Amino acid sequence: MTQVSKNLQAFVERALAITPQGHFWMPFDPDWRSPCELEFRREQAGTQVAWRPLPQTTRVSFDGLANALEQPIHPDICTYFSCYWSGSLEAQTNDGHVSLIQLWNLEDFDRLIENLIGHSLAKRQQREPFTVFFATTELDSELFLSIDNLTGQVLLEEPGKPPLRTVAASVADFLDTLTPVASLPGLY
Amino acid sequence: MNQLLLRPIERIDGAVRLPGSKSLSNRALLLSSLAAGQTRLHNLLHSHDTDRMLDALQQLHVDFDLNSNGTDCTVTGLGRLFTPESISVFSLGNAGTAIRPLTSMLSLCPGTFTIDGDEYMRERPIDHLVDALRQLGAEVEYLGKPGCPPLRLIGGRIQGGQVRIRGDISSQYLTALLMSLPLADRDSVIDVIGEQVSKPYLDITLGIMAQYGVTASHENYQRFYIKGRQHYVSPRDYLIEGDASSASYFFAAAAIKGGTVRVNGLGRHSVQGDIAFLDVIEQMGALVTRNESWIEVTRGQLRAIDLDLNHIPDAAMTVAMLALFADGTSRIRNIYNWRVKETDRMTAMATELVKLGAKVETGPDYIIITPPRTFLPATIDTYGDHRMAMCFSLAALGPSQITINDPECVAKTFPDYFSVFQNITGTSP
Repeated sequence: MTQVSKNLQAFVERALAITPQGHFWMPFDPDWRSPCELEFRREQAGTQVAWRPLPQTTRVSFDGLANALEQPIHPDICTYFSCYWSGSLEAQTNDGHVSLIQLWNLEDFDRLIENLIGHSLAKRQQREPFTVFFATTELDSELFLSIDNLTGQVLLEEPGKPPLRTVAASVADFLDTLTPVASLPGLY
Repeated sequence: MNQLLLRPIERIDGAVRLPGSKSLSNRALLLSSLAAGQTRLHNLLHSHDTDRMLDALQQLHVDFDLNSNGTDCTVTGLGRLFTPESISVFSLGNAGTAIRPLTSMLSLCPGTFTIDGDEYMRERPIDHLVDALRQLGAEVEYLGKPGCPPLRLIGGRIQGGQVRIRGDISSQYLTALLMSLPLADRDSVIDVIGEQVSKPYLDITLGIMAQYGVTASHENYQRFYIKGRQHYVSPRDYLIEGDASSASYFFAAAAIKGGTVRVNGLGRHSVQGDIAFLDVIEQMGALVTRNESWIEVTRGQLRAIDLDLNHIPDAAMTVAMLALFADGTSRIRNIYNWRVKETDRMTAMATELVKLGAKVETGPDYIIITPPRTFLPATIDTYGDHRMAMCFSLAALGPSQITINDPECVAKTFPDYFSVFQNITGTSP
């Protein structure tokens, strides 16, 4: 087990510990299913589904992205996204809220890869090294967190601009500093 | 660790232009487009967000004329809701300040719209706004990841009515509803679930709406009442303000070591709460001149103060720096919220002020500052807090050299702060 998967597992355990029943809820979408779904609850405003991060048995592979970009993908990035099927995980840092992007299903992985290819083209245009985003910040903010594909450092970035600053030496270090917060539940 | 060395600054003089705020720029463009009459917008921010908004407005048949450097824009308003092609696709890049108000506004317009963003926007949830629009009768379908753009919106079904929206995570969704619902056929009531965050931003929204002739009232930001069938009317000229709390450092620098500093892009009619900082520095003895589109501060003899600054907690940090240069002991009261920020600003300010030689006493919600007999050279920790870094740059107005640790934390709100600061000091950092 790598340090990234250990620290992500530890974070998931901390996050689950603060949920009332050991799982999260989100609105159910029949067209957007996940292996991590547990049970359903019908409510006036629609069906809710309970979920908890489920370890990926067949792990997603970044080989396709590496081929497309003609460069290897940092192992921390591969590990981070291939640990769980999961919804976004919410956390607090010293600098504010972050929402850790996780993969809900295989289709979500394909979607992520498409977005990362768009991101890589933007980076090439700016002659900036490739990074992989893995967390969004406050809902009102456009800043996001990414992993530098060469060094594995965690960077704070604004779309279309060079990184603003280094946030952590590695994603494992970063995960270690996070305090989970109760998931941003939908209103209903 | 990165460090920035600031040598003692002899004199402060010059002008600073604060670029118009991004969110105000896009609100002003949107309201000008809907308003009856022509509006001249001044100090527009030229950015990705405003470019995407302008693209969308062009698609919505709005005429505008942008000057060559993109800071002034004359918009010929439609005087009514948009009438888009019945099937339209809007690509809004990563412009959060465009996608939210436009989605809300388009939900009133008949037609089927695809609203999309770039790869970053597609990771950013918009579900709280969509939930609110669905409650009002809009039909919205997510075309990719649920909760995020792209989405398909069937507009024209919203009449107004009752809606609940979460207030504890964002003010932008509420802003989007506040700007669109006055144009609905019926009256609306918005109930805010949870304690509303970013209330000053809502004041700014209500302020700009009022300048365009539309009103909404509220009960302590928890319930908003919006009359339907209202019409936006052009104010003819509209200055898009820069961020008043960022301006406080330049005003303070002038008050301590002026010369005079003129800040362009902030005027006497400012809708921002932090503008009250100027009243405080006037009380301390600085000379303030307020114009329509600029404000100047000139040095005076700085007097100590004893004030409740609960209404300007961010700018109160700048007041604490001014207290270092005043003629006696100052007391800043009712600033409990310094302790609930991302860093415990009370402890952080006290720790760093003491390094400069000041005598400091803090309580649960106050700080008492006696200026140093002799200013000490110091290395200042910034705690990852952009305001700490900007505040303590002012310490270099004393006779000693100051080193700022991790100065790049200013990137969060003001990436080129130190170079702008340098422009009014005439020294290189």
